[in-house]
Amino acid sequence: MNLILNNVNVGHKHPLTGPLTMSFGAGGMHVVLGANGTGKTTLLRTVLGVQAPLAGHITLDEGAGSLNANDHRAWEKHVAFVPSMPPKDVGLTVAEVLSLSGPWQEAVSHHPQLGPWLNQRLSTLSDGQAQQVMVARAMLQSNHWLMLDEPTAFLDVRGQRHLWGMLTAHLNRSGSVMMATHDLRGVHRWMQEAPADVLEVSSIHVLSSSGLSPLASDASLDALEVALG
Amino acid sequence: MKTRLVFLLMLLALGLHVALGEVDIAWGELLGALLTGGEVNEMHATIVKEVRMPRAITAMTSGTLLGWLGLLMQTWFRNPLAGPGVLGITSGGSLGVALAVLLGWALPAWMAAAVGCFAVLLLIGVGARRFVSPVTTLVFGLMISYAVSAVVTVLQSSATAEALQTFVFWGMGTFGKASFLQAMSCMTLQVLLGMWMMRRAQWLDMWTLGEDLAQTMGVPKARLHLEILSLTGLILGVVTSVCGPLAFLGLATPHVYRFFHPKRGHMDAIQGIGVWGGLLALLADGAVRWTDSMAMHWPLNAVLAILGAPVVLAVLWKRTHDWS
Repeated sequence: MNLILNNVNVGHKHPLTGPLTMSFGAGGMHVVLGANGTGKTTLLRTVLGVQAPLAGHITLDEGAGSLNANDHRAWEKHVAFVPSMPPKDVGLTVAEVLSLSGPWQEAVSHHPQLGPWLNQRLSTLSDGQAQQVMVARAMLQSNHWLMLDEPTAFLDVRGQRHLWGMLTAHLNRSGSVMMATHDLRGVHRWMQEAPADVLEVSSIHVLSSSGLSPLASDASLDALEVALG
Repeated sequence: MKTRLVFLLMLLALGLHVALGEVDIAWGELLGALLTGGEVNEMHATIVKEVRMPRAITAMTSGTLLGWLGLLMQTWFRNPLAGPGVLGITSGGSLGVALAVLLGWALPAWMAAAVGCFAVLLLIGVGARRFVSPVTTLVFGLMISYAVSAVVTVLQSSATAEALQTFVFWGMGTFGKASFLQAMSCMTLQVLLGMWMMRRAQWLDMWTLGEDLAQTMGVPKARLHLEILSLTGLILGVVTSVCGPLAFLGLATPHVYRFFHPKRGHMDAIQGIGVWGGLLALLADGAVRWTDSMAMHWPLNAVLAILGAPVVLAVLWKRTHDWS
Protein backbone atom coordinates (compact mmCIF):
# COMPACT_ATOMS: atom_id res chain seq x y z
CA MET A 1 0.00 0.00 0.00
CA ASN A 2 1.80 3.10 -1.21
CA LEU A 3 0.97 6.35 0.54
CA ILE A 4 0.18 9.00 -2.03
CA LEU A 5 0.00 12.74 -1.56
CA ASN A 6 -1.69 14.55 -4.42
CA ASN A 7 -1.30 18.35 -4.41
CA VAL A 8 -1.58 18.41 -0.63
CA ASN A 9 -1.35 21.65 1.33
CA VAL A 10 -1.06 21.31 5.09
CA GLY A 11 -1.42 23.96 7.77
CA HIS A 12 -3.90 25.81 9.94
CA LYS A 13 -5.71 28.29 7.69
CA HIS A 14 -2.48 29.16 5.85
CA PRO A 15 -0.46 26.50 4.02
CA LEU A 16 2.91 25.79 5.65
CA THR A 17 4.40 24.32 2.50
CA GLY A 18 3.87 24.42 -1.23
CA PRO A 19 1.61 21.71 -2.66
CA LEU A 20 3.10 18.26 -1.96
CA THR A 21 2.81 15.55 -4.58
CA MET A 22 4.61 12.40 -3.63
CA SER A 23 4.37 8.65 -3.44
CA PHE A 24 5.85 6.91 -0.41
CA GLY A 25 6.61 3.32 -1.29
CA ALA A 26 5.15 0.48 0.78
CA GLY A 27 7.73 -1.50 2.73
CA GLY A 28 10.08 1.44 3.08
CA MET A 29 11.31 3.77 5.79
CA HIS A 30 10.45 7.34 4.94
CA VAL A 31 12.22 9.98 6.95
CA VAL A 32 11.07 13.59 6.97
CA LEU A 33 13.71 15.98 8.26
CA GLY A 34 13.09 19.63 8.85
CA ALA A 35 13.88 22.49 11.16
CA ASN A 36 11.46 23.26 13.98
CA GLY A 37 8.34 25.01 12.71
CA THR A 38 8.52 23.74 9.14
CA GLY A 39 5.36 21.73 9.66
CA LYS A 40 6.56 18.16 10.21
CA THR A 41 4.01 17.51 12.93
CA THR A 42 1.26 19.20 10.92
CA LEU A 43 2.14 17.02 7.93
CA LEU A 44 1.99 13.89 10.10
CA ARG A 45 -1.32 14.91 11.69
CA THR A 46 -2.74 15.51 8.23
CA VAL A 47 -1.52 12.18 6.90
CA LEU A 48 -3.02 10.54 10.01
CA GLY A 49 -6.40 12.07 9.23
CA VAL A 50 -6.54 14.01 12.52
CA GLN A 51 -6.41 17.27 10.61
CA ALA A 52 -7.89 17.84 7.17
CA PRO A 53 -5.56 19.01 4.40
CA LEU A 54 -6.15 22.58 3.21
CA ALA A 55 -6.15 21.21 -0.31
CA GLY A 56 -5.47 17.98 -2.18
CA HIS A 57 -5.96 14.30 -1.40
CA ILE A 58 -4.13 11.75 0.70
CA THR A 59 -4.72 8.15 -0.32
CA LEU A 60 -3.42 4.63 0.12
CA ASP A 61 -3.51 2.62 -3.08
CA GLU A 62 -4.91 -0.82 -2.44
CA GLY A 63 -4.92 -3.17 -5.41
CA ALA A 64 -7.63 -1.86 -7.68
CA GLY A 65 -9.12 0.77 -5.37
CA SER A 66 -7.75 3.36 -3.04
CA LEU A 67 -8.46 4.57 0.48
CA ASN A 68 -8.83 8.22 1.40
CA ALA A 69 -7.50 9.67 4.66
CA ASN A 70 -10.88 11.22 5.42
CA ASP A 71 -12.41 7.72 5.61
CA HIS A 72 -11.42 7.40 9.28
CA ARG A 73 -12.84 3.93 9.90
CA ALA A 74 -10.79 2.31 7.15
CA TRP A 75 -7.77 4.58 7.58
CA GLU A 76 -7.19 3.62 11.22
CA LYS A 77 -6.73 -0.04 10.27
CA HIS A 78 -3.81 0.79 7.99
CA VAL A 79 -2.22 3.86 9.55
CA ALA A 80 -1.17 3.97 13.21
CA PHE A 81 0.48 6.73 15.21
CA VAL A 82 3.27 6.96 17.77
CA PRO A 83 3.49 10.42 19.37
CA SER A 84 6.75 12.03 20.35
CA MET A 85 6.14 11.82 24.08
CA PRO A 86 4.55 8.70 25.58
CA PRO A 87 1.32 9.77 27.34
CA LYS A 88 1.65 10.76 31.00
CA ASP A 89 -0.47 9.79 33.99
CA VAL A 90 -2.01 6.76 32.31
CA GLY A 91 -3.23 4.34 34.96
CA LEU A 92 -3.97 1.55 32.48
CA THR A 93 -1.57 -1.38 32.60
CA VAL A 94 0.65 -2.22 29.65
CA ALA A 95 -1.59 -5.20 28.83
CA GLU A 96 -4.68 -2.97 28.92
CA VAL A 97 -3.06 -0.36 26.65
CA LEU A 98 -2.05 -3.03 24.14
CA SER A 99 -5.51 -4.63 24.29
CA LEU A 100 -7.05 -1.40 23.01
CA SER A 101 -5.54 -2.24 19.62
CA GLY A 102 -5.37 -6.02 19.51
CA PRO A 103 -4.45 -9.15 21.48
CA TRP A 104 -1.52 -8.28 23.80
CA GLN A 105 -0.18 -11.82 23.43
CA GLU A 106 0.66 -11.03 19.82
CA ALA A 107 2.62 -7.94 20.83
CA VAL A 108 4.57 -9.90 23.44
CA SER A 109 5.41 -12.64 20.96
CA HIS A 110 6.92 -10.02 18.65
CA HIS A 111 8.52 -7.96 21.41
CA PRO A 112 9.44 -10.26 24.32
CA GLN A 113 10.93 -7.32 26.27
CA LEU A 114 7.34 -6.17 27.00
CA GLY A 115 6.56 -9.38 28.91
CA PRO A 116 7.72 -8.33 32.39
CA TRP A 117 5.83 -5.00 32.22
CA LEU A 118 2.40 -6.37 31.28
CA ASN A 119 0.80 -5.80 34.69
CA GLN A 120 2.53 -2.52 35.39
CA ARG A 121 0.76 0.77 34.85
CA LEU A 122 2.04 2.67 31.83
CA SER A 123 2.73 5.64 34.13
CA THR A 124 5.26 3.62 36.14
CA LEU A 125 7.48 2.83 33.12
CA SER A 126 10.41 4.96 32.02
CA ASP A 127 9.96 7.06 28.88
CA GLY A 128 12.02 4.55 26.94
CA GLN A 129 9.93 1.58 28.10
CA ALA A 130 6.66 3.44 27.57
CA GLN A 131 7.68 4.41 24.04
CA GLN A 132 8.34 0.75 23.21
CA VAL A 133 4.83 -0.06 24.45
CA MET A 134 3.42 2.70 22.26
CA VAL A 135 5.24 1.38 19.19
CA ALA A 136 4.09 -2.17 19.93
CA ARG A 137 0.53 -0.90 20.28
CA ALA A 138 0.72 0.93 16.96
CA MET A 139 2.00 -2.24 15.31
CA LEU A 140 -1.01 -4.15 16.70
CA GLN A 141 -3.29 -1.54 15.16
CA SER A 142 -1.73 -1.55 11.71
CA ASN A 143 0.46 -4.02 9.80
CA HIS A 144 0.98 -1.37 7.16
CA TRP A 145 1.89 2.17 8.06
CA LEU A 146 3.41 3.50 11.26
CA MET A 147 3.62 7.26 11.62
CA LEU A 148 6.11 8.47 14.18
CA ASP A 149 6.61 12.04 15.34
CA GLU A 150 10.14 12.50 16.71
CA PRO A 151 9.93 9.14 18.45
CA THR A 152 13.48 9.23 19.80
CA ALA A 153 13.34 12.79 21.16
CA PHE A 154 12.93 11.74 24.77
CA LEU A 155 14.90 8.49 24.67
CA ASP A 156 18.39 7.70 25.88
CA VAL A 157 20.81 5.76 23.69
CA ARG A 158 19.49 2.39 24.80
CA GLY A 159 15.88 3.43 24.25
CA GLN A 160 16.76 4.71 20.78
CA ARG A 161 18.39 1.37 19.93
CA HIS A 162 15.31 -0.55 21.05
CA LEU A 163 13.07 1.73 18.99
CA TRP A 164 15.10 1.37 15.79
CA GLY A 165 15.17 -2.39 16.36
CA MET A 166 11.36 -2.50 16.60
CA LEU A 167 10.99 -0.40 13.45
CA THR A 168 13.39 -2.67 11.57
CA ALA A 169 11.31 -5.67 12.65
CA HIS A 170 8.19 -3.90 11.35
CA LEU A 171 9.86 -3.27 7.99
CA ASN A 172 11.03 -6.89 7.84
CA ARG A 173 7.38 -7.95 8.14
CA SER A 174 6.71 -5.73 5.08
CA GLY A 175 5.35 -2.85 7.14
CA SER A 176 6.04 0.75 6.20
CA VAL A 177 7.27 3.60 8.36
CA MET A 178 7.03 7.36 8.07
CA MET A 179 8.97 9.33 10.62
CA ALA A 180 9.55 12.99 11.37
CA THR A 181 12.80 13.26 13.26
CA HIS A 182 15.95 15.16 14.18
CA ASP A 183 17.74 11.93 14.99
CA LEU A 184 20.32 12.12 12.19
CA ARG A 185 22.66 9.60 13.74
CA GLY A 186 19.87 7.08 14.15
CA VAL A 187 18.73 7.59 10.56
CA HIS A 188 22.28 7.32 9.28
CA ARG A 189 23.07 4.14 11.21
CA TRP A 190 19.80 2.57 10.11
CA MET A 191 20.57 3.37 6.44
CA GLN A 192 23.93 1.66 6.70
CA GLU A 193 22.48 -1.50 8.18
CA ALA A 194 19.18 -1.74 6.27
CA PRO A 195 18.77 -4.51 3.69
CA ALA A 196 19.01 -3.35 0.08
CA ASP A 197 15.42 -4.16 -0.86
CA VAL A 198 14.04 -2.09 2.01
CA LEU A 199 16.46 0.73 1.26
CA GLU A 200 15.35 0.74 -2.34
CA VAL A 201 11.81 1.85 -1.45
CA SER A 202 12.93 4.09 1.41
CA SER A 203 13.40 7.84 1.24
CA ILE A 204 14.74 10.83 3.10
CA HIS A 205 13.17 14.21 2.53
CA VAL A 206 13.78 17.65 3.92
CA LEU A 207 10.59 19.59 4.57
CA SER A 208 10.67 23.33 3.99
CA SER A 209 8.24 25.99 2.88
CA SER A 210 8.96 25.09 -0.75
CA GLY A 211 7.99 21.45 -0.22
CA LEU A 212 9.72 18.11 0.26
CA SER A 213 13.18 17.86 -1.30
CA PRO A 214 14.69 14.38 -1.56
CA LEU A 215 18.11 13.35 -0.28
CA ALA A 216 20.06 10.35 -1.52
CA SER A 217 19.37 7.41 0.78
CA ASP A 218 23.14 6.82 1.03
CA ALA A 219 23.79 10.40 2.12
CA SER A 220 26.62 10.90 4.57
CA LEU A 221 26.01 12.15 8.09
CA ASP A 222 27.61 15.47 7.08
CA ALA A 223 25.25 15.78 4.12
CA LEU A 224 22.26 15.13 6.44
CA GLU A 225 23.47 17.78 8.86
CA VAL A 226 23.93 20.30 6.09
CA ALA A 227 20.52 19.52 4.65
CA LEU A 228 18.85 20.05 8.01
CA GLY A 229 20.68 23.39 8.26
CA MET B 1 -11.52 -4.11 47.61
CA LYS B 2 -14.11 -6.03 45.66
CA THR B 3 -16.75 -3.99 43.87
CA ARG B 4 -19.28 -6.64 44.91
CA LEU B 5 -18.60 -5.92 48.60
CA VAL B 6 -19.17 -2.19 48.04
CA PHE B 7 -22.37 -3.06 46.20
CA LEU B 8 -23.59 -5.07 49.19
CA LEU B 9 -22.69 -2.19 51.51
CA MET B 10 -24.67 0.15 49.27
CA LEU B 11 -27.70 -2.14 49.39
CA LEU B 12 -27.35 -2.31 53.18
CA ALA B 13 -27.20 1.49 53.38
CA LEU B 14 -30.24 1.69 51.12
CA GLY B 15 -32.15 -0.75 53.33
CA LEU B 16 -31.25 1.08 56.53
CA HIS B 17 -32.12 4.40 54.92
CA VAL B 18 -35.63 3.18 54.18
CA ALA B 19 -36.05 1.16 57.39
CA LEU B 20 -34.90 3.72 59.94
CA GLY B 21 -36.40 7.08 60.73
CA GLU B 22 -38.29 9.15 63.22
CA VAL B 23 -41.41 7.09 62.81
CA ASP B 24 -41.01 3.43 63.75
CA ILE B 25 -42.52 1.52 60.90
CA ALA B 26 -44.14 -1.75 61.93
CA TRP B 27 -42.34 -3.61 59.13
CA GLY B 28 -43.61 -7.09 59.93
CA GLU B 29 -47.16 -5.85 59.99
CA LEU B 30 -46.73 -3.71 56.83
CA LEU B 31 -45.08 -6.42 54.72
CA GLY B 32 -47.51 -9.03 56.01
CA ALA B 33 -50.44 -6.84 55.05
CA LEU B 34 -48.97 -6.24 51.58
CA LEU B 35 -48.41 -9.97 51.02
CA THR B 36 -51.72 -11.21 52.36
CA GLY B 37 -53.78 -8.28 51.09
CA GLY B 38 -54.85 -7.42 54.61
CA GLU B 39 -55.42 -4.04 56.25
CA VAL B 40 -52.45 -1.75 55.47
CA ASN B 41 -51.34 0.90 57.96
CA GLU B 42 -51.95 3.84 55.62
CA MET B 43 -49.63 6.26 57.41
CA HIS B 44 -46.72 3.83 57.45
CA ALA B 45 -47.25 2.88 53.82
CA THR B 46 -47.36 6.54 52.81
CA ILE B 47 -44.17 7.36 54.73
CA VAL B 48 -42.32 4.51 53.04
CA LYS B 49 -43.67 5.10 49.58
CA GLU B 50 -43.71 8.88 49.38
CA VAL B 51 -41.02 9.99 51.78
CA ARG B 52 -38.35 7.43 52.45
CA MET B 53 -38.21 5.52 49.16
CA PRO B 54 -37.95 8.60 46.91
CA ARG B 55 -35.33 10.10 49.21
CA ALA B 56 -33.22 6.94 49.38
CA ILE B 57 -33.48 6.24 45.66
CA THR B 58 -32.69 9.86 44.77
CA ALA B 59 -29.66 9.83 47.06
CA MET B 60 -28.36 6.56 45.64
CA THR B 61 -28.91 7.39 41.97
CA SER B 62 -27.66 10.98 42.27
CA GLY B 63 -24.50 9.73 43.96
CA THR B 64 -23.95 7.23 41.16
CA LEU B 65 -24.69 9.79 38.45
CA LEU B 66 -22.41 12.44 39.94
CA GLY B 67 -19.61 9.91 40.44
CA TRP B 68 -19.87 8.90 36.80
CA LEU B 69 -19.94 12.50 35.61
CA GLY B 70 -16.87 13.18 37.75
CA LEU B 71 -15.08 10.27 36.08
CA LEU B 72 -16.21 11.49 32.68
CA MET B 73 -14.95 15.04 33.30
CA GLN B 74 -11.64 13.79 34.73
CA THR B 75 -11.12 11.58 31.68
CA TRP B 76 -12.26 14.18 29.19
CA PHE B 77 -10.04 16.94 30.56
CA ARG B 78 -7.34 14.45 31.56
CA ASN B 79 -7.24 16.18 34.91
CA PRO B 80 -7.75 14.48 38.30
CA LEU B 81 -9.23 17.63 39.82
CA ALA B 82 -11.92 18.10 37.21
CA GLY B 83 -15.50 17.55 38.22
CA PRO B 84 -18.93 18.91 37.41
CA GLY B 85 -18.72 21.41 40.28
CA VAL B 86 -15.17 22.64 39.74
CA LEU B 87 -15.81 23.39 36.09
CA GLY B 88 -18.60 25.82 36.92
CA ILE B 89 -21.30 23.65 35.39
CA THR B 90 -23.26 23.49 38.61
CA SER B 91 -22.94 27.27 38.97
CA GLY B 92 -24.60 27.50 35.59
CA GLY B 93 -27.51 25.59 37.11
CA SER B 94 -27.51 28.02 40.02
CA LEU B 95 -27.69 30.93 37.62
CA GLY B 96 -30.62 29.33 35.84
CA VAL B 97 -32.49 28.72 39.10
CA ALA B 98 -31.55 32.19 40.37
CA LEU B 99 -33.02 33.76 37.25
CA ALA B 100 -36.16 31.65 37.54
CA VAL B 101 -36.71 31.99 41.30
CA LEU B 102 -35.36 35.47 42.04
CA LEU B 103 -36.70 37.20 38.95
CA GLY B 104 -39.87 35.14 39.05
CA TRP B 105 -39.57 33.82 35.51
CA ALA B 106 -42.24 31.35 34.56
CA LEU B 107 -39.80 28.51 34.05
CA PRO B 108 -39.81 25.31 36.13
CA ALA B 109 -36.70 25.12 38.33
CA TRP B 110 -35.48 21.88 36.75
CA MET B 111 -35.64 23.37 33.28
CA ALA B 112 -33.92 26.55 34.42
CA ALA B 113 -31.16 24.48 36.05
CA ALA B 114 -30.79 22.28 32.97
CA VAL B 115 -30.56 25.27 30.62
CA GLY B 116 -28.01 26.95 32.90
CA CYS B 117 -25.86 23.81 33.17
CA PHE B 118 -26.00 23.23 29.45
CA ALA B 119 -25.05 26.82 28.61
CA VAL B 120 -21.95 26.72 30.79
CA LEU B 121 -20.99 23.29 29.52
CA LEU B 122 -21.21 24.56 25.96
CA LEU B 123 -18.96 27.51 26.84
CA ILE B 124 -16.44 25.14 28.37
CA GLY B 125 -16.63 22.90 25.34
CA VAL B 126 -15.80 25.83 23.08
CA GLY B 127 -13.03 26.92 25.45
CA ALA B 128 -11.57 23.42 25.71
CA ARG B 129 -11.07 23.32 21.97
CA ARG B 130 -9.38 26.71 22.06
CA PHE B 131 -7.21 26.19 25.13
CA VAL B 132 -5.13 23.07 24.75
CA SER B 133 -4.00 22.91 28.36
CA PRO B 134 -6.43 21.35 30.85
CA VAL B 135 -5.29 23.86 33.47
CA THR B 136 -6.47 26.71 31.25
CA THR B 137 -9.80 24.96 30.87
CA LEU B 138 -10.14 24.58 34.62
CA VAL B 139 -9.34 28.26 35.17
CA PHE B 140 -11.89 29.04 32.45
CA GLY B 141 -14.51 27.05 34.35
CA LEU B 142 -13.50 28.69 37.61
CA MET B 143 -13.88 32.16 36.06
CA ILE B 144 -17.36 31.20 34.88
CA SER B 145 -18.21 30.23 38.46
CA TYR B 146 -17.02 33.60 39.71
CA ALA B 147 -18.95 35.48 37.04
CA VAL B 148 -22.08 33.44 37.79
CA SER B 149 -21.73 34.04 41.54
CA ALA B 150 -21.44 37.75 40.85
CA VAL B 151 -24.61 37.77 38.78
CA VAL B 152 -26.41 35.70 41.41
CA THR B 153 -25.30 38.15 44.12
CA VAL B 154 -26.63 41.07 42.09
CA LEU B 155 -29.93 39.25 41.59
CA GLN B 156 -30.12 38.47 45.31
CA SER B 157 -29.72 42.12 46.28
CA SER B 158 -32.99 43.05 44.64
CA ALA B 159 -34.99 39.88 45.32
CA THR B 160 -37.86 39.52 47.74
CA ALA B 161 -37.08 37.92 51.10
CA GLU B 162 -39.29 34.99 50.27
CA ALA B 163 -37.63 34.28 46.92
CA LEU B 164 -34.23 34.74 48.53
CA GLN B 165 -35.01 32.16 51.19
CA THR B 166 -36.21 29.67 48.57
CA PHE B 167 -33.00 30.16 46.62
CA VAL B 168 -30.70 29.87 49.66
CA PHE B 169 -32.37 26.67 50.83
CA TRP B 170 -32.12 25.28 47.31
CA GLY B 171 -28.39 26.04 47.39
CA MET B 172 -27.86 23.94 50.52
CA GLY B 173 -28.81 20.81 48.67
CA THR B 174 -31.09 18.00 49.82
CA PHE B 175 -32.30 14.62 48.69
CA GLY B 176 -35.43 15.05 50.81
CA LYS B 177 -37.52 17.13 48.42
CA ALA B 178 -37.64 14.58 45.63
CA SER B 179 -41.00 13.22 44.59
CA PHE B 180 -41.48 9.61 43.60
CA LEU B 181 -41.56 10.70 39.96
CA GLN B 182 -38.31 12.64 40.28
CA ALA B 183 -36.64 9.67 41.95
CA MET B 184 -37.74 7.54 39.02
CA SER B 185 -36.38 10.08 36.51
CA CYS B 186 -32.99 9.97 38.26
CA MET B 187 -33.12 6.18 38.07
CA THR B 188 -33.92 6.30 34.35
CA LEU B 189 -31.00 8.66 33.78
CA GLN B 190 -28.79 6.31 35.74
CA VAL B 191 -29.65 3.48 33.38
CA LEU B 192 -29.10 5.78 30.39
CA LEU B 193 -25.73 7.13 31.52
CA GLY B 194 -24.58 3.70 32.71
CA MET B 195 -25.34 2.11 29.37
CA TRP B 196 -23.71 4.96 27.48
CA MET B 197 -20.56 4.81 29.59
CA MET B 198 -20.20 1.05 29.21
CA ARG B 199 -20.67 1.43 25.48
CA ARG B 200 -18.06 4.16 25.32
CA ALA B 201 -15.65 2.62 27.85
CA GLN B 202 -13.10 1.78 25.17
CA TRP B 203 -13.22 5.25 23.64
CA LEU B 204 -12.70 6.72 27.10
CA ASP B 205 -9.74 4.40 27.72
CA MET B 206 -8.26 5.53 24.42
CA TRP B 207 -8.92 9.16 25.29
CA THR B 208 -6.63 8.85 28.35
CA LEU B 209 -3.73 8.20 25.94
CA GLY B 210 -4.08 11.65 24.41
CA GLU B 211 -6.38 13.50 22.08
CA ASP B 212 -4.46 13.00 18.81
CA LEU B 213 -3.56 9.41 19.52
CA ALA B 214 -7.15 8.55 20.47
CA GLN B 215 -8.37 9.99 17.19
CA THR B 216 -5.91 7.90 15.17
CA MET B 217 -7.17 4.86 17.12
CA GLY B 218 -10.70 5.47 15.92
CA VAL B 219 -12.31 7.81 18.45
CA PRO B 220 -14.50 10.36 16.61
CA LYS B 221 -13.66 13.43 18.68
CA ALA B 222 -16.51 15.68 17.58
CA ARG B 223 -19.10 12.99 18.25
CA LEU B 224 -17.65 12.10 21.65
CA HIS B 225 -17.60 15.77 22.64
CA LEU B 226 -21.20 16.19 21.56
CA GLU B 227 -22.34 13.11 23.49
CA ILE B 228 -20.43 14.14 26.62
CA LEU B 229 -21.72 17.70 26.48
CA SER B 230 -25.35 16.76 25.96
CA LEU B 231 -25.41 13.93 28.53
CA THR B 232 -23.58 15.93 31.18
CA GLY B 233 -25.78 18.97 30.60
CA LEU B 234 -29.00 16.95 30.76
CA ILE B 235 -28.08 14.85 33.78
CA LEU B 236 -26.44 17.59 35.80
CA GLY B 237 -29.41 19.79 35.01
CA VAL B 238 -31.88 17.22 36.33
CA VAL B 239 -29.83 16.25 39.40
CA THR B 240 -29.15 19.90 40.24
CA SER B 241 -32.80 20.79 39.90
CA VAL B 242 -33.98 17.89 42.07
CA CYS B 243 -31.26 18.01 44.75
CA GLY B 244 -29.69 21.47 44.45
CA PRO B 245 -26.08 22.15 43.51
CA LEU B 246 -24.28 19.20 45.11
CA ALA B 247 -20.63 19.71 45.98
CA PHE B 248 -17.76 17.22 45.95
CA LEU B 249 -19.63 13.98 45.10
CA GLY B 250 -18.60 14.11 41.44
CA LEU B 251 -15.05 15.14 42.16
CA ALA B 252 -14.32 12.92 45.15
CA THR B 253 -16.06 9.62 44.31
CA PRO B 254 -13.65 8.59 41.51
CA HIS B 255 -10.74 9.18 43.90
CA VAL B 256 -12.35 7.07 46.62
CA TYR B 257 -12.65 4.32 44.00
CA ARG B 258 -9.01 4.75 42.95
CA PHE B 259 -7.90 4.59 46.58
CA PHE B 260 -9.55 1.21 47.18
CA HIS B 261 -9.37 -0.42 43.76
CA PRO B 262 -6.37 -1.03 41.48
CA LYS B 263 -8.17 -1.28 38.12
CA ARG B 264 -8.09 1.87 35.97
CA GLY B 265 -9.85 0.67 32.84
CA HIS B 266 -13.16 2.46 32.37
CA MET B 267 -15.21 -0.76 32.31
CA ASP B 268 -14.11 -1.52 35.90
CA ALA B 269 -14.10 2.12 37.02
CA ILE B 270 -17.69 2.67 35.84
CA GLN B 271 -18.94 -0.23 37.97
CA GLY B 272 -16.83 0.66 41.00
CA ILE B 273 -17.55 4.39 40.91
CA GLY B 274 -21.23 3.67 40.37
CA VAL B 275 -21.58 1.73 43.62
CA TRP B 276 -19.22 3.99 45.58
CA GLY B 277 -21.19 7.05 44.47
CA GLY B 278 -24.45 5.48 45.63
CA LEU B 279 -22.92 4.38 48.95
CA LEU B 280 -21.28 7.75 49.70
CA ALA B 281 -24.44 9.71 48.90
CA LEU B 282 -26.52 7.40 51.12
CA LEU B 283 -23.99 7.76 53.95
CA ALA B 284 -23.96 11.55 53.59
CA ASP B 285 -27.75 11.67 53.60
CA GLY B 286 -27.75 9.29 56.57
CA ALA B 287 -25.62 11.85 58.40
CA VAL B 288 -28.01 14.63 57.39
CA ARG B 289 -31.00 12.69 58.67
CA TRP B 290 -29.16 11.87 61.90
CA THR B 291 -28.46 15.58 62.51
CA ASP B 292 -32.13 16.23 61.71
CA SER B 293 -33.13 13.75 64.39
CA MET B 294 -30.84 15.61 66.84
CA ALA B 295 -32.52 18.87 65.77
CA MET B 296 -29.20 20.20 64.38
CA HIS B 297 -30.24 20.20 60.69
CA TRP B 298 -26.90 20.17 58.88
CA PRO B 299 -27.32 20.96 55.18
CA LEU B 300 -26.36 18.20 52.75
CA ASN B 301 -23.69 20.34 51.10
CA ALA B 302 -22.02 20.97 54.45
CA VAL B 303 -21.84 17.23 55.10
CA LEU B 304 -20.54 16.58 51.57
CA ALA B 305 -17.86 19.25 51.95
CA ILE B 306 -16.77 17.86 55.32
CA LEU B 307 -16.49 14.40 53.77
CA GLY B 308 -15.20 15.50 50.35
CA ALA B 309 -12.66 18.22 51.06
CA PRO B 310 -10.21 15.88 52.84
CA VAL B 311 -10.40 13.50 49.87
CA VAL B 312 -9.44 16.29 47.45
CA LEU B 313 -6.67 17.46 49.77
CA ALA B 314 -5.37 13.91 49.98
CA VAL B 315 -5.26 13.74 46.17
CA LEU B 316 -3.25 16.97 45.98
CA TRP B 317 -1.00 15.83 48.81
CA LYS B 318 -0.21 12.47 47.34
CA ARG B 319 -0.39 13.38 43.65
CA THR B 320 0.03 9.88 42.27
CA HIS B 321 0.82 9.32 38.63
CA ASP B 322 -1.82 6.73 38.01
CA TRP B 323 -5.01 8.61 38.72
CA SER B 324 -6.52 8.10 35.30
